[in-house]
Amino acid sequence: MIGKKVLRISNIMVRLAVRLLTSARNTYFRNFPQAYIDREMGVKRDPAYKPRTYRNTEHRPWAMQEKNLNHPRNKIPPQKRLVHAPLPEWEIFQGDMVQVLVGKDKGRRGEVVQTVQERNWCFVGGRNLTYEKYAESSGIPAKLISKELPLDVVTEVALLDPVDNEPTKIEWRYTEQGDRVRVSKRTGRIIPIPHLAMETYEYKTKSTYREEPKDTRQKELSEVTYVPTSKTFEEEIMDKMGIVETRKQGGTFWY
Amino acid sequence: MASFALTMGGKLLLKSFCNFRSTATLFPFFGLVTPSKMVFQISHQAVLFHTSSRRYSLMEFFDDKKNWGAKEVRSGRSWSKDELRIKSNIDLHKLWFVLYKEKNMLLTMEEECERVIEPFPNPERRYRVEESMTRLQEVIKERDRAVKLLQVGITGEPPSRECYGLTGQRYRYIYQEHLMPYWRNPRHFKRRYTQEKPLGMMRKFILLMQEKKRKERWSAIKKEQAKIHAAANEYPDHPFWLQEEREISQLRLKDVYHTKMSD
Repeated sequence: MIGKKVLRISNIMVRLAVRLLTSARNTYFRNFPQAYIDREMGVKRDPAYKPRTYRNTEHRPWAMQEKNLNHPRNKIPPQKRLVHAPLPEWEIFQGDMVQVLVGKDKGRRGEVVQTVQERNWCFVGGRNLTYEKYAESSGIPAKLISKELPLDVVTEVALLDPVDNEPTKIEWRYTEQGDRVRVSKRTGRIIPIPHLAMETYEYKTKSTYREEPKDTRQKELSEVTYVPTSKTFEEEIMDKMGIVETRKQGGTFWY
Repeated sequence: MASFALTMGGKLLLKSFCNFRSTATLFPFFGLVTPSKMVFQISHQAVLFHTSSRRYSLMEFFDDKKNWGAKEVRSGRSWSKDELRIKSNIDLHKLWFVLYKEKNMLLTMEEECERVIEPFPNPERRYRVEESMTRLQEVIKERDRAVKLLQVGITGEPPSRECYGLTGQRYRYIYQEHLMPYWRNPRHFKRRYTQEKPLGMMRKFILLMQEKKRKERWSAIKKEQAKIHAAANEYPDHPFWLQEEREISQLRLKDVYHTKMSD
């Protein structure tokens, strides 16, 4: 039985390894059913089990690091509660070019690699780095590994205007066609949402999705076959199948 | 330019969609085959044990052999309600069984993978199928409801009434179907969980419960206010406070933040 348990655990790790190795963008799994994500995260239905405070990290919500942080044992006291700058609508997406406004890399530009909306975080590629040592044993020298630290989307980072590559504030406006777009306040130029932000586990872009053998094709999907009649579902199916029911249902009592 | 139109719950190949046989040929061999002959004839008889035009016998419970031991089996998204609403009742009837068979196949594969201790690829497929099936049922309910209201004036749902339980809480009691009338049913008169008025002895409990709920509602608003005030103190120069015409005490969390922020 012990051997089986060990194999079961390794089974779970292999199953999730596919997820862990994939991109860390938070919208990568947006097409997944919520019931499945809740199962993987271990969400319990009863509100008594819901933690009062939940700390999101750069990891997946079903990852060990996030689960350990949000264990019921680790209560976050009121003094350590997070305070975020107001942001009614999310503005910065993965793949955007931004300029860092604080820290060592102040004034430098980079591409947004990951965002965590619950904490107003964004990770800019190659900027705001921290270095960690990995010293395996006394014989092998220590190895430095760099990691990006998060930056606050509202205060520490600014979107770049493609016209002059300078930081700018943005507004959401509508085009003549009716699309909602980001517009730079200074120049009025549209800053399109990058393709990287639209990428998910299923496709890189919607137009390049490769259809699977069990998918219904677009032609059959958009075909309208419904003709409203005064028959219920049951009556229609009975007519189609030639089922004739002349027996009367026995009287039952409802109370 | 092809639009994003992938559907997993569809599970319909063109052939099976068009050639669905309305009369099911289930269990034709029980009358013909004797137990002693079962062993030799099962492969032949099993061919008749299906209702679709594809003849894979009981192996339809299992996935395509290509996917056995696969690390990843990709699939499309579930059917949406708008996509189901444009389909006729007959098409939805066929689709239901296609989805049902797919669900059974996935459950079988999941069970088998557990037995041999192998990773089951993409378990979210089953949840997608279940989503499609629940939406399908809801669409059919919508249609039946509309037809019945027009023809008869009832919704077709079981009758119900408002009543009070033993704790004094108000709820909607849904009538049950019985074979004998209530005046002959001894259990009906013993039933106490459907009261017309809350019981007198629950008066105190009801007052305390109402107080508790009132406090919860108010404290939720106050907690949101505390977060907003903390943000106003931390970022007083943010243009959001100047743009906003309302007072800070009138704001709710959804006005200030895009999602429910953690912590």
